[in-house]
Amino acid sequence: MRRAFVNGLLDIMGTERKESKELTYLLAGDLGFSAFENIREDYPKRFMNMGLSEQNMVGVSAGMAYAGKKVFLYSIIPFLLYRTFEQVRNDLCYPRLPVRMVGVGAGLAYADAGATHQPLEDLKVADALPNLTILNPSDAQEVGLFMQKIDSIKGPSYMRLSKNEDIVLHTEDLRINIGKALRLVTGKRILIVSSGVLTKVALEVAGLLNKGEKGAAEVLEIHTFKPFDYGAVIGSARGKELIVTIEDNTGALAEKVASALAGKEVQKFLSFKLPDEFTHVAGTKEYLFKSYGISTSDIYGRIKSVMK
Amino acid sequence: MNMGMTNVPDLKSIANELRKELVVVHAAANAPHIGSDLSCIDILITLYFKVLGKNDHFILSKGHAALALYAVLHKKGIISADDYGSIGKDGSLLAEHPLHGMKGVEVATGSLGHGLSIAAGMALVNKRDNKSGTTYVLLGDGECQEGSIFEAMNFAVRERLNHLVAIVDSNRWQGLDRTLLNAETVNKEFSAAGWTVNEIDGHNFDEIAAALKSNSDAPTLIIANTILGKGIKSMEDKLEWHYRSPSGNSVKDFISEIS
Ligand SMILES: [Mg+2]
Repeated sequence: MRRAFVNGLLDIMGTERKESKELTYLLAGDLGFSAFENIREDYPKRFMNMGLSEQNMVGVSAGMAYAGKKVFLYSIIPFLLYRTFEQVRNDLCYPRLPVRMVGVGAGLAYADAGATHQPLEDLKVADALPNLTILNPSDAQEVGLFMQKIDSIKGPSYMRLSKNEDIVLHTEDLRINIGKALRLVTGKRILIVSSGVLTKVALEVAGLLNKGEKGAAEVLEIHTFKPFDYGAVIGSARGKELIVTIEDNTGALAEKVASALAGKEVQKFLSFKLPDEFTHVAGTKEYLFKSYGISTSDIYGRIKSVMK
Repeated sequence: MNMGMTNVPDLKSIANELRKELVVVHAAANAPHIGSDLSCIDILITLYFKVLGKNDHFILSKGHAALALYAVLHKKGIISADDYGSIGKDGSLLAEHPLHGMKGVEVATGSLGHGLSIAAGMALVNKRDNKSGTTYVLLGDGECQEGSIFEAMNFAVRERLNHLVAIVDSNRWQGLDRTLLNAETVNKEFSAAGWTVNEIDGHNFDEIAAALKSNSDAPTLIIANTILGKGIKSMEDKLEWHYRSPSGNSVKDFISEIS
């Protein structure tokens, strides 16, 4: 996913170079080893290592945005969003400056790095901020499309990436609209709502369900977490017997979907989310997700038992 | 200097006028921070009446001195009489800390420790794009305890932001106490980091103007020695005027002290 982000940036900077413009900058918080070499080589003045000074990084980006620049900020999510929370709120969101925060290590991507590196609540934290657009892509393809459309976002944005692995989920002809959910599979009885990299699991679960019963499960992907596409959730949920949410956060998606459906006739609701706690052990992300009951087989099993 | 001297009476009379206004406005709005307003008003007057040009930027990082900024912006004709008269009333656009979007306010502030980084970002773009103009930012001395100030301090040196000028309103008070980090330490830290540091009398218009206009190869910090509540003897250097607002009969008495 990170490579798609870098390629997107190179495209933007290349276009600007052809037009003799110098608008886009990448500011990194001393992170991105073996990721930004191309940018540093081709556009040495457009990359700045801001050092271990994330609050300053956000403040400087605000100043640059006031002066007309388009600034991308890059770091690991806790350092990018939590350390700097008030700078993000007051200096970016309040004046609605088009600064692009790109965080790496979403959810349990840094499973073996320990609890300090795992943003398990970042969607809730970011969602609390007015004027912020939250992008939660499920694969590299979506990252690339977001990069192409990033200028259409008027205020600040926060895009959360997994890690450097290149997940491929969507086909080449994918089209997305920021703020509009994607209906990836249509079905009649079960609605699975997913956001971010666990969309892969959602598709696998739906595949199993639909193999057993043709057209049973529908998958709705929320790639833009804010503004949230309530309408799509309500529309897709209509007539379903079971609503399922799958996320790598502590209930941000489950709560959004539940609030969308409050007062609507929904029979059953299953949420697959991380518990409201810090991880206790290290391990692979597959291991940790599994320990929380978030895997294709666990989710499929739970759904089957509920639908009996 | 000679030319500057002829302007001194003007600034002084503006300062007297705005100090009197501030007493009235604070009383009417029951607004805090008059002590802070009075300690930095001479700096703001010098900036707006003698220094700032159209390519310059100014950020009031110590946003709690907003009423002093409004007084100057009103005097300059940037803020309308209607808006200025609305301070303290429901629906006013002039809050106790500057709101985003208000005419004359480049950056909304209020939480301390934000302004220096934003100013550095503006100065960086000017430098990279070879544009003229200086970015000024006014900090409180208490504000210098914020860690983000030290992040910005080092960044400004690394990027050689020689058209960045930070002024510290050094009134030696903060919310609850005498400043916990004194001006001498701030001076040493910034000097050691590579800033050009000048210390001046923050109520002497000539010294303020000279310091604001001085050239340097490095970012510049001006430590302006000021007095909380300056210009009203019975308020001067008294912490209570960080929060209290004048009221009732005291308004007339305070005004009579201004000369
Ligand atoms: Mg002070």
